[in-house]
Amino acid sequence: MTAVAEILSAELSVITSADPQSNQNQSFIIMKSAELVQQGIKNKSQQSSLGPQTPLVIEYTTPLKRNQQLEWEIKVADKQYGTIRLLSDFSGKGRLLNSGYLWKSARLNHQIKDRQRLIFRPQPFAHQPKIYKRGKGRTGQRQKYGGGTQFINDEKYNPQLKYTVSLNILQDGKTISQHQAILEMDRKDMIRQEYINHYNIKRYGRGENGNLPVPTRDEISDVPPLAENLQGNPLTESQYQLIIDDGISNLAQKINTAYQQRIQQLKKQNTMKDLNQQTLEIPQSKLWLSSGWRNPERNEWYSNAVNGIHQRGGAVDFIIMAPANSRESSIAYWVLWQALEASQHLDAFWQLEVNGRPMTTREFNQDIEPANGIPDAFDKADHLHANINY
Amino acid sequence: MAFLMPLTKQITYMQILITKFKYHAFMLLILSVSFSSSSMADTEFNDYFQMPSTIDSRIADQVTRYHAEDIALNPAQQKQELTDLEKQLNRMQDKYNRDASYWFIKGLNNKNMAAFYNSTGNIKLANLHTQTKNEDYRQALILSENTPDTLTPAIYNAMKHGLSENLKIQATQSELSLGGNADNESAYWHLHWSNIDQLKKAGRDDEAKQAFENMQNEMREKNVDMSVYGELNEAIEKTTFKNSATNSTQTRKPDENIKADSTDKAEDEPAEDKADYIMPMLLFFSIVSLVLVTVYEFIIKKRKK
Repeated sequence: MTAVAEILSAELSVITSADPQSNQNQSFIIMKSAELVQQGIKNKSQQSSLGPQTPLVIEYTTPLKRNQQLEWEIKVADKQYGTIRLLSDFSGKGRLLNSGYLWKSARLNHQIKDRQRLIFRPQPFAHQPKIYKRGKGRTGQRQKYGGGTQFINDEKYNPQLKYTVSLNILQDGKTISQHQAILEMDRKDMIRQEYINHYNIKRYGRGENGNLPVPTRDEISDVPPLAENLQGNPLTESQYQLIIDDGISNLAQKINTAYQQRIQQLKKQNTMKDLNQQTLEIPQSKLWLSSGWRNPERNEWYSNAVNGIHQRGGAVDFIIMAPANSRESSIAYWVLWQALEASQHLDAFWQLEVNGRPMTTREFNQDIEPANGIPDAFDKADHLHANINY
Repeated sequence: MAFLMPLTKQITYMQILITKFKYHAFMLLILSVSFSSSSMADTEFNDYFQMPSTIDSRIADQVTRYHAEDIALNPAQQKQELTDLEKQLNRMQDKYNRDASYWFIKGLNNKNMAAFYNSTGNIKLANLHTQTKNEDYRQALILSENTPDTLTPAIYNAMKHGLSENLKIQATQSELSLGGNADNESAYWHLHWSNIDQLKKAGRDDEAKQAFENMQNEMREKNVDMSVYGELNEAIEKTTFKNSATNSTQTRKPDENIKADSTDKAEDEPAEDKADYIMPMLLFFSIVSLVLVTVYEFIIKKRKK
């Protein structure tokens, strides 16, 4: 994947976006013309309205001679996406190639106004949920429970749009020079486009439809290293190698520290008792960071929480690094819970999750099989979710 | 095909029909709206356990509510309602005897009753219902043994606690075979670890090794990032295989109850799937209703002439 698009000809000037950073990288996002969504996803960000971005403008800056003509071409990288609306007043035609859609102008007389400037707008594309159910479902296929893809550009659900614009300068019917500019979404704008495409998507089942703001480019950053002693995923399962970090790095570190300190404390005191006042073995297991920031497609693959805080970069999930639902795992979740309850400096919310959804208060409090001395909630938990307070 | 349209369009469509067919069409409107809203409703049971209930969904939903939500009734009313649900479930036992999801719902109701008696301090009745719950879940697992996809990962996950060793292994393996249930990949691989660990602890060493190999093969096939998950593989080697090799004398053998579990297999009989019949039924009723209304109108017109 090319991160930054190129201008291959110095004589072509290119404007791709109203956003200076996107423009600098010759990158762009696509908004519906009548759509206004909020921009600024982090907790303390000042939100602003994000309207339609500038159309793509490519201009040949060198003056042409009287007997010279121009011929513009636009090729898209993908047949499935990249439909354009031409705003320049040119005649031309498009055709479908195996390698992508091609639009080509007629041979243009440069003496007519604005022939040296090509203006077009990429057409917005609708979010195309690929519907899945958690697990393989009854028919062996994921279905009707979220959608999304696991990876970048997987089956084109989060495509990296790219336009190759070529200009031929002709004299007496012969091409005398060729110029090319490549306009391509970079990874930050691919992420932003995902948020745009997922704005207002339907939540399956109960709850509100999606309405998360779009992150600004400044809110997307490189993935920070994982805290010491913490294992698992690098604060994101996303393949972008970028992250929105609204405090998860700090939160993950604090939770891990609280857990490790509690283990050390229990080891020193050796007084951990179960519900039957029997001495419990102090768990040895580390915490495994299973989830941090999720891009919307990824979130949709796994979760029905269309407004989930993972997409804001404000939530982390932890698994005990032990066999799921084993005694070791149950005791360790109990210790982790105690550690968080005792923690004075944790301005966060946390909950146990089971079956991939929050454990309800009733489920948490029910304890009908205490024979093993551990509250049922910790026996059943499959992970702990924590998020900063919004 | 009015029932397939959004509600607003249905109403517009029905208004046109009403002007044409007057009062008779009104019946069709009620029929259509009531069918569509009931079939499209996202029920509690469906929401929590990710499949439509095969039994009366009102009962399944109420049992699910008692499982998951705080109930705003006093203890006497709760007891009454739980007992009523138990009676209704018992009455349908003959009909749904071979239906794994029925046994799960029945077990869930017994779990709710155990929780209720536990909260009121009646430990004897709580234990009795816990035992019955385990028996019900056992029955659900026996019926779904060869057709795990008659239930969902969420149901297997909910059932496995408190079961005997071999049944717990079966529930875990069924959950795995359906792709797991949690909302991240790590939980799925930890579920694999759970399966391996349970097999090892049950003294089924060869199966445990095979399960570990299967997990590693699956990781390779799925191109899992080994810079992350390599640690998990090492942990499984270190804790499950090496630790148990040094503590092999502690390995438990399957007890008599578990042997009985494994011999008491039900014949493979897929559960009835009511959900598959809902849409054709709606289609059938709507067409029949439309035809009847048209014929009736035709007769009335003829008589007037």
